[in-house]
Amino acid sequence: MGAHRLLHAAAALALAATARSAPAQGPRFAVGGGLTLGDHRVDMGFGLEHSTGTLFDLQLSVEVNAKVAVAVLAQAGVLHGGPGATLPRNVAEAGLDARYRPFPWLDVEGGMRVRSYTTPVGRQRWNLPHLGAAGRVPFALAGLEGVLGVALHPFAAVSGLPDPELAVSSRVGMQYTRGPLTAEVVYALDRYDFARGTVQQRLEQYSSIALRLHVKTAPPLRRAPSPTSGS
Amino acid sequence: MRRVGLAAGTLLLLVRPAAAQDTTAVLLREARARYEALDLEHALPLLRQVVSPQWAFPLTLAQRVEAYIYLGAALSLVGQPDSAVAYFAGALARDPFTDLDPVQFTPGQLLAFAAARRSVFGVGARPVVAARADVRTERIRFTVATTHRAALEVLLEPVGTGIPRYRVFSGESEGVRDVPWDGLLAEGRLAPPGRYSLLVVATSLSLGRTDTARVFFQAAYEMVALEDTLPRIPRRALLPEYQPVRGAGRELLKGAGVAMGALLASAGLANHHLGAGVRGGAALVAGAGIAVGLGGFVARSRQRAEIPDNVAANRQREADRRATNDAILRRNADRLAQTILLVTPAAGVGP
Repeated sequence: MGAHRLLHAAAALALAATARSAPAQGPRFAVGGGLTLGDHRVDMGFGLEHSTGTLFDLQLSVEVNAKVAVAVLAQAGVLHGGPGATLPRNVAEAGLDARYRPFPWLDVEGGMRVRSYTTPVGRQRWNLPHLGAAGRVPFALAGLEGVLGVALHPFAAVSGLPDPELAVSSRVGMQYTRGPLTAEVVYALDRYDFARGTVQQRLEQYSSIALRLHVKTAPPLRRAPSPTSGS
Repeated sequence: MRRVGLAAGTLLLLVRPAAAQDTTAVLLREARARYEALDLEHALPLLRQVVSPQWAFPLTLAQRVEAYIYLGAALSLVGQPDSAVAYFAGALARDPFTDLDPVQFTPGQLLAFAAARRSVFGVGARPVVAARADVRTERIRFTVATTHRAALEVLLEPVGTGIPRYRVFSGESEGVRDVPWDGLLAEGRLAPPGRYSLLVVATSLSLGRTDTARVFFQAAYEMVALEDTLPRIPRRALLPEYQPVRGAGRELLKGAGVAMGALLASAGLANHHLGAGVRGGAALVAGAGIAVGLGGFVARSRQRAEIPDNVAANRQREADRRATNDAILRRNADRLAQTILLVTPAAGVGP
């Protein structure tokens, strides 16, 4: 329930921001996709389970205006068992992200991710509402930016597990935009600590390196208001 | 016998070794005085002596012409018109500028002189008079003469330059004529400095004979002082137009920040119990950040920012210099246009 409230609050915030800052240009759509090399590690007290795999993701985003954007994303792939892990895990994730850019160098981000790990013996569902910020560092070469972001997942919920005591994610990447195309390479790390210091302690971490390409549409041309339209 | 004695006596009186040239002049003066006193009986022998081949003293062309004139005039008075015409013709042949003053000579003498003019043909050119002329408004004047009506051509010929002759005058002429020259040669070019030959060619319209005369002169320009244009402003005298762009170090910091963020995310935020995860991915992003930071540092270090005020000031200085030079060039052009041609007679005569 808490996650749903957070999601509603984030959506309301995004709509309010959109309404307040009247857009100077029309919405722009972007579609992107990429390849992610994922590394999942978990220790439930029986030793480290380590699995890696390749995931594919798709993303559709709408820049409502220069400051507000909303994105829908999906990711899927298989993490194959490494040392200590016995079964492969199918990973699927869907999410809705919203971004507000109060300054050109700062993004305030929020959203909801739903992730599932599926093995032949069961499925685990993760609800990951998140709220964070990302700094953007423009370099001398036009279009080249560094991105450093951190997000908290205060209302993260995992099926079959207590709420994590620590749920945080970070990402660092380089992004280059030329015309409608944007290419980025991003390193991300999610850390979840459950019941630390107890016999039920569970430590989980997912890190990835992703290479993505986005294509953005041109802003639609707005017709000049006709002289009689206002009368 | 009496004449010879008179002449010898006169010679003894007048001839002095130290003034041989004066001897002829003194004798001519004596002869003229006797002619004017109508003592023709004594004047004629004196004049004949002067023009005689036996005359041992220097005799200039002008003295010879004067002697011929007075011989002709005296003979005309004593009733020997043919001889008078012959002497007048001799004078004209030697100096086509020769003429009789109608106030001083009788109509009979003038008639005989006119007959002499018709019988002989000659052309002459006076030595060029030294002159200084602004060729835009003034003219150099040559004086030429023909003994009687003739087709006359006055030509200018630069000596030794290969420049073709330039016709200054062409037409019919009789007697003395002033020929003006504007200092230009063919195609309107200003006559270059140097030595020139003035060639006068005339063909008698009655006798069909042709005669030429030539005098030389020297042409030069009066040098005018020109202003020098201002030289190009040396670079060291100009204000610096560029300055290094700031922010090169900031690029390094940005790159280091990205690299630090990647390392912090992979090592600092990661659970040490679980390990670092895709550490190669963090290293990749960190390396990209470092590389981009270094590249930005190098690029920024090479960039230079324009200093608009200095650029404007330098351009203004250059514009001022150009304007000054344009004015100097205009003034110089005006001075050069005011070319003063100096003409001086030069040695050498020719037929």
